[in-house]
Amino acid sequence: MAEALDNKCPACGAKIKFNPKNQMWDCEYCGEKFTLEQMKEKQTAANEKSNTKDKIKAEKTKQKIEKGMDVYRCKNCGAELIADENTTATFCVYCGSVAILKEKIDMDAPKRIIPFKKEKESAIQAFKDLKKGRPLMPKIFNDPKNIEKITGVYIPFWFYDLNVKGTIDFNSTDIRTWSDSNYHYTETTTFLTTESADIEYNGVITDGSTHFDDDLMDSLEPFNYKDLEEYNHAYLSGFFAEKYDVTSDEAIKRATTRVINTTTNKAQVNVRHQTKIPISNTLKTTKLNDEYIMLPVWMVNINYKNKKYTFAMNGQTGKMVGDIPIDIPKAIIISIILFISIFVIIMLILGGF
Amino acid sequence: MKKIKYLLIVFLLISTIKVNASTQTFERTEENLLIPDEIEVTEKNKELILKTPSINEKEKIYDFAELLTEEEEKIIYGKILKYIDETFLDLAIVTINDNNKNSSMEYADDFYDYNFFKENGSLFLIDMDTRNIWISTKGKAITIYTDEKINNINENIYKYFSDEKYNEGITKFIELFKDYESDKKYNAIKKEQNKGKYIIISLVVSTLITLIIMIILVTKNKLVQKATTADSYINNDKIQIKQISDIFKGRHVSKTKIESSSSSGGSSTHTSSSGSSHGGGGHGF
Repeated sequence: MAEALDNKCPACGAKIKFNPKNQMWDCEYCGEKFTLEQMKEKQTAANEKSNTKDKIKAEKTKQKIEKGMDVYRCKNCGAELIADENTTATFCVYCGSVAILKEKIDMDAPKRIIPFKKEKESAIQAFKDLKKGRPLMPKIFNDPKNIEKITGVYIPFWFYDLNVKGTIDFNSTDIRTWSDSNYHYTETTTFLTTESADIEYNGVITDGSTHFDDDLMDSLEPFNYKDLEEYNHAYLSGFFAEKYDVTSDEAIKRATTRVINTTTNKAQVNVRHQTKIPISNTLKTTKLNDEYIMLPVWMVNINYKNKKYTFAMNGQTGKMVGDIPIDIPKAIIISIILFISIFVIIMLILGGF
Repeated sequence: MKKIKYLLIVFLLISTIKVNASTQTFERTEENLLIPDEIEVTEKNKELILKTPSINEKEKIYDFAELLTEEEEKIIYGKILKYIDETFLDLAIVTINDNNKNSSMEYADDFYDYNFFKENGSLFLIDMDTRNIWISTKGKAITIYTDEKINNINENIYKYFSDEKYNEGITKFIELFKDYESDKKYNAIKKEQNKGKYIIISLVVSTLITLIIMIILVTKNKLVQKATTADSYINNDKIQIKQISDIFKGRHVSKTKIESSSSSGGSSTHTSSSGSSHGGGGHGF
């Protein structure tokens, strides 16, 4: 755990925010830009001068606890959004409610973080681009008022290294056909095939927040882990973060299902028969390592016909996910137009007129 | 006396006209079979030849069953001549009350072969004995009138004969027969007849295509998918899959009989007693 950085400009002392575009901290007041190293350097120098209180604070952060973070608690849905002193929430990112309370809490600091690579503008653009090739999207989804609410949130994830080991039994068959002048013959040969597998998986992730739909978070994958940085408080500047509320032991279940499925698939490919159906296995999953990490997500919620629709963009790769509802009247009109024009075209081809 | 003589002449004149209007036949004898030169006479077909009426091939209508009035015959005769003129194919219409051959087909084929009709042409037989209509084709007419066309004509006209509307039936026959002579016109008629079918096909196909497009559009709106696998997280240096065993459990052989299927297109032909090829088809009424 690196030393926590104050989100203050080392040059002028004003509040400073992380800029995903150049991956630096930009000071809006004096115009200076700082890299993580520069921030650390200045901070260390400042810390040396500072009194013991700060030293104690620094010690405490080493215990992987972020003390005294601002937390915005939503009265409506109960979500908790963490922010540093530079970021202010005016509405709940999850439900859109403005009934939020600001409190102070301590937070388990994640071990590593992928800082935002995509800034708000590109998230807005990606959201606007959703309408392309999607004529059934309701108009409200392109309302700038909604799109402007897009918010950058660091989502807690559990990051696992897992090993899957064991055997899998397959019912496999080969089918051969031939014919003579009178009959078609079909020969079916069945086997019991056993495969052994031993596979290591690195970095299987599972979302650690109950506020997010698990499937939605799955869809954000893949993240590129080469951008995983040691966590630093300074990365939160300008963004929100969430605490995990799903423990590692709980979250691993989803990861285990995934690795078992993939292991079975890999073994199935290895079976040299025409059809192969897995019937039983002795696969055991061992957790080699787990880590609490934060991943960057741009998200926005839109209410349509009394239902909440969450859209999220991978803050690293720009991949946009979310289920867009169908505008039923639009769908009916499009179906009718399609039907009539296809009917006319086919009749013309057949010469039915 | 003179008056009687005069009446007799008038009567004779009327009767001659009537003879002409019904059908004039010539007697065949063993010595003079009255058949075209190219026909080879064998013991087998000699009897059949003798049983076939010998007629004047220019009359075109041989109404032995007397189903048509003189007036009707005249009009039909005009239409047949027009058909022959336009298509260069021969055409004769025969009605019989009594079929002395094995089938309508045989009667029609023999009638055409053992008289002096053109090499390429057709004969339409209304057989009141077996209650069948039969279209016999020969030479080029075989290829022009495919089985499909002949079936189509028969389907369209047999009802007239069931209803004893012989004149309308024959008139309709000539009309269709002429239309179907040209493929272009036949196709146009077929299209007209198939209009209902085309509408149904178009309805079904456009419903399907619309459905497929709508499904694609709807799925385009679904950008969330549960992850069920972890393929991208495999550490390729630490993957080991081996087959441990492959135990034979059993073998089963099943057999199904091959169904012989026959397909047809174009015109099917048969050989008549004269040895020549005929096409055609018929329908009961």
